[in-house]
Amino acid sequence: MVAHMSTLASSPSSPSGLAASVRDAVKIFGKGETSVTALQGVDLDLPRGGFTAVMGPSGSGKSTLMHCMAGLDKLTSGSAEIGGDKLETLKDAALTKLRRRKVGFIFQAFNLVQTLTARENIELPLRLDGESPDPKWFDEVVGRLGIADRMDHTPTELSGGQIQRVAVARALVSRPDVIFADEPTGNLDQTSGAEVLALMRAAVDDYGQTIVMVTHDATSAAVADRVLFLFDGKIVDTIEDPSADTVFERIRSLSTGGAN
Amino acid sequence: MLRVAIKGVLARKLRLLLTSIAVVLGVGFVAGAFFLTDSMRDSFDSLFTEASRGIDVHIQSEEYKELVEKQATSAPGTITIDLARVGVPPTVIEQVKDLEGVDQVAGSIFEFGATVLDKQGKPIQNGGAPAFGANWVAEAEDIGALRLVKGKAPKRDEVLLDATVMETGKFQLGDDVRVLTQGGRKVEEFTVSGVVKFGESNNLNGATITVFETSRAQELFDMGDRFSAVEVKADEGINQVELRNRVRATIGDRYDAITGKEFTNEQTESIDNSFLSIIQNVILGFAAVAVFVGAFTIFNTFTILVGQRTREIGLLRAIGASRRQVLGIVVLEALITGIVASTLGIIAGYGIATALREILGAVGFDLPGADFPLRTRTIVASYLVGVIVTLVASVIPAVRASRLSPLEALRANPAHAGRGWKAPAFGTLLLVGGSLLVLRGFQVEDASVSETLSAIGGGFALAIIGIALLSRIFILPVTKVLSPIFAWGTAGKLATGNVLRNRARSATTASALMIGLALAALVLVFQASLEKTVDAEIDRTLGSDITVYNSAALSSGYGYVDQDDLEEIKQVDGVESVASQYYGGASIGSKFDADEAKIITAFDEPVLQEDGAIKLQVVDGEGEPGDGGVLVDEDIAKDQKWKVGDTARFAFSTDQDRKFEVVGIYEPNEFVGAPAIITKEAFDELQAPAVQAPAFTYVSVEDGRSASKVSDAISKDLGTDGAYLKIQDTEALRDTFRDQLAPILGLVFGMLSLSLIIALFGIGNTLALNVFERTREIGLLRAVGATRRQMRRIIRTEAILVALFGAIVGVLVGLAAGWALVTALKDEGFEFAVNAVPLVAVLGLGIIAGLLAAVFPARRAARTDVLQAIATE
Ligand SMILES: Nc1ncnc2c1ncn2[C@@H]1O[C@H](COP(=O)(O)OP(=O)(O)OP(=O)(O)O)[C@@H](O)[C@H]1O
Ligand SMILES: [Mg+2]
Repeated sequence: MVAHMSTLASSPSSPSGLAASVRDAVKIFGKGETSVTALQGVDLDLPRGGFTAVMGPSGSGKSTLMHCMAGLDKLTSGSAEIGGDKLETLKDAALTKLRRRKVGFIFQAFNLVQTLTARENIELPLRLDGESPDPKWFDEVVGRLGIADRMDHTPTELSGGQIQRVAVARALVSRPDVIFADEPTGNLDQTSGAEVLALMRAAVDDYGQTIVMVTHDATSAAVADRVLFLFDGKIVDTIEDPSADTVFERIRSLSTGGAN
Repeated sequence: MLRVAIKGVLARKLRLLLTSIAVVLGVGFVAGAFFLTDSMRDSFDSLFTEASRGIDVHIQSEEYKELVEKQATSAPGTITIDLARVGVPPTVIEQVKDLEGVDQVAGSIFEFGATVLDKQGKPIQNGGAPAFGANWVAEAEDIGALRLVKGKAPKRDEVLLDATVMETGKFQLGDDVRVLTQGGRKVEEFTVSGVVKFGESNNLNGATITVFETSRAQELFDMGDRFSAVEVKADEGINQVELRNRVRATIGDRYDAITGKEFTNEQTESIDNSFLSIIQNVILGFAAVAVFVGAFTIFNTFTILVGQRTREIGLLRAIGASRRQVLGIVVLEALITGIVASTLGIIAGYGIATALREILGAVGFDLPGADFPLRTRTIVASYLVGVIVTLVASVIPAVRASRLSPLEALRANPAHAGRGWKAPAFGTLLLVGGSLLVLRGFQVEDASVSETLSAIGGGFALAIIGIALLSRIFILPVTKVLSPIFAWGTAGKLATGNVLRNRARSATTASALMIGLALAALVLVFQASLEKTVDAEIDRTLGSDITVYNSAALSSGYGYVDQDDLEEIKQVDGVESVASQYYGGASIGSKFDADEAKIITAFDEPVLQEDGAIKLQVVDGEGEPGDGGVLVDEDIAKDQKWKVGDTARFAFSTDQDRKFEVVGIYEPNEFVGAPAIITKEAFDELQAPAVQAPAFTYVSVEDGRSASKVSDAISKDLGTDGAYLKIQDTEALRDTFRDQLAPILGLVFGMLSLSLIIALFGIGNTLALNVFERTREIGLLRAVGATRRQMRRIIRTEAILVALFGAIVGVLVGLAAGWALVTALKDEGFEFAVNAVPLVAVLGLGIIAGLLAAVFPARRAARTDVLQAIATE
């Protein structure tokens, strides 16, 4: 509980009440003729305790945006901030620490270290820091995710849905400022996907966790508080309090009418 | 398909390089071995060509030739050559001289045992190379290789020295020089009258040559008026064979005439069979270790490479490639790798040959020869070894991969394997079979040396492969024990997981190290046991305080104490009594048979009591031979069914034989060093003059005097006159026995360092490939917050765990093998002993090897780009 409180206490270090943000984010891959502009001037604020979904056609820059916001990649220009830290000013060691403490990442696949048990995978970011998780918080997270009885199994002994839930647990246990999830349910069947989404929703509602999630699925996006639409590296639309229908509607209009 | 294979090789340049390193090293050693021996062969060839200069017919007695051959292969002291009997008499020269077609004739003397002492009185010797004495034949200048390059022919009290001895001894023409002759029976003084070269070389491939005036040489070697051989030079235009036949017709068959060409061939053959074959075997031993250890690494590498490509193979199969095609691609890749690596290996062979020559030189084996000739055989052998090893190592994993159904292959997780029961079961089989083979090698009595060695070596190799296969079982418990000690925290836990994730691979990786360390541990156990045995034997059998012997005895096996020096020792203050021991050959029965000759010994004082110089453990009868009696040891008594009171008949090289009464039977005794003891009187009567000189002299000091002080006093009293002698108290004698093992130890440690280097590459290689294989996982770790330093620690810890496992298993295997060896030698009086300190040092060496091996892979892992890793499929 103490660790939990202290992370909560240190969280509102950002005066703006933002968990993360990017300003004028530009990302260009390569140079000269073959260069690809993946992001062209994205402005985005992630308010603390918000659940944001990011949608957009393939190649629109969703993953790139997540990577740059999470400190896994550097912006070509513009600035990115997490919990008050300006990412472009940080060196590798500091960025690593930041990933450990302030960011949680859930990938589409290959989320767990094969040689470690579920428990060890969940504890990994904290252990790498030489700390141990608050046992109450750990039990609560694991209990809510319904994987408490799977803690001593290795990833090979878990189902795809269980693996993703362990990944969610890993992201939650260190209580990061933001959790980035890049198509976390892309590999799952509908039921498992829905469960994982519900758990993420609960983390936002019950613990005030900030989450950004990339998805291709309108129903999944509707779980979020707001949906951003990315097209050609730019945010072209936003829906607040979405429902599956409004999202689906917007996708249709964007793909038929185009962004222009 | 060839295109797919070539592309496959090129797309993985780094991996190709890593695989190749193992092959390159293995092939490098094979090529290096051939380079070295070829180079030595060439040098000997040119030497023999040089030596047979002007020799068209060579005359020698058959018996002499046989005796020389036997002397080279028998225990020192058993074979003495009575040159006055088996040499060629001057009458032969007279007979041949006037034959038609004969240009020049020379009676030549060329014998072992003329050692030059330097100005401090120490023998000048190049390692263990022999010291020859020869005669100068002025009237037959065109015969033989000796060339007078400075000064003039020797008179009776003069000698010619070879250019190397001149230089090492810092001699000038006209200097006095002392020479130990006839195996060191006498020390005599000469004046240096000139310098000889052996053809163009300063010496005879390391051996020294001292050249005397002919009659003086005949005296020194106790050969009457005879010669070692007679050389004939033909007139211009006369055919060697024709002249040989003419000579044969003239001298009859008491002496054997051969052509100069036959003579050269005989010499080449004898050197091939002795010296060269030993050296070649030693180096091929190195090569075998290198290839054997390297094969593990190669095998591992290919397993990993194919494992990584299992998905690719699945894809190929899914789009319609046949099993055979998939297999073909892998085999082709292996072929390309094998050929490229073998080529590099041959180049590396030059470097390895050079290095080996240095290493062998440093441990006392000076090798002749300069250039390294590239022979077809070297090329063929190198490519065969390189390509076959690579193919074998790659085919097993390839077959395994091609057997998978396309879907299995696509789904395969290459990182998990090695938990089946088949490999361990097969390993057990190999271990048991190998051990049995080794045992057999020890037990079969009348097998040839090469049969015994190949049984022991082959058995050892099989057993090692067996253990390597088995070790994947006990890598789990061992790592579980090691982890808390060497792998702390999260990094440690991850490293442990990595080691255990593919146990087969970790175990194979560790095997490379295991073999080297097993070898080292085996030798260390053997050494410790031998030391203990020697100590115990000295305590049991040596009663005197100081032992004096000719230092030549250590290298050439024979050498004597000068009679005058013996007298002087008796006068030294503190010396109570002095006794000397004599050695000669004898065979049981009425006819002397050099093949069956045994050593027979005599003492000039009654020293065999409990408190005498030699403590003889008498099991039956008397403790001194007495008049007309002989003491025999238990072994020979059992062999011959002799009991006290029986008659034992011995024949001697002097063509005499004698019946003795067996008066006592004793336990075999290191210092008696012979199965039979007779009186000094009988010895003098029956043995050749050549051996009637003290081989060992035992000195007892007066009560209350310190042995080391008295031995110092003896050395001081004798001064430079005694410098050719070893004057040793019991402690120093012990050290000498120990030092005799040094060259063998040096060799084994050469092999150890070699296998360490290869093991280092092996571990590094596997780790590096693991890092490639786990790129995604490393990326994930970095993404969830592992620092570069933590990544490095994970890989380093992994290396330490694998290396330690290999080291521990290796040391245990070595201990077990050492115990088995010592137990097998129990009959020789061996006692098992272990010295912990060097064993721990060997373990430490293993850890260091692991740490070194981890440097590159750890750096590579730390540099892994997070995003790229995540993107890698
Ligand atoms: N490392 C890279 N080098 C060059 N171009 C890149 C790289 N990574 C991404 N891109 C390009 O940047 C653009 C955005 O890629 P991004 O992965 O962000 O798309 P996405 O929206 O996540 O697509 P998807 O829905 O298919 O995952 C694409 O055009 C892609 O080709
Ligand atoms: Mg994406």
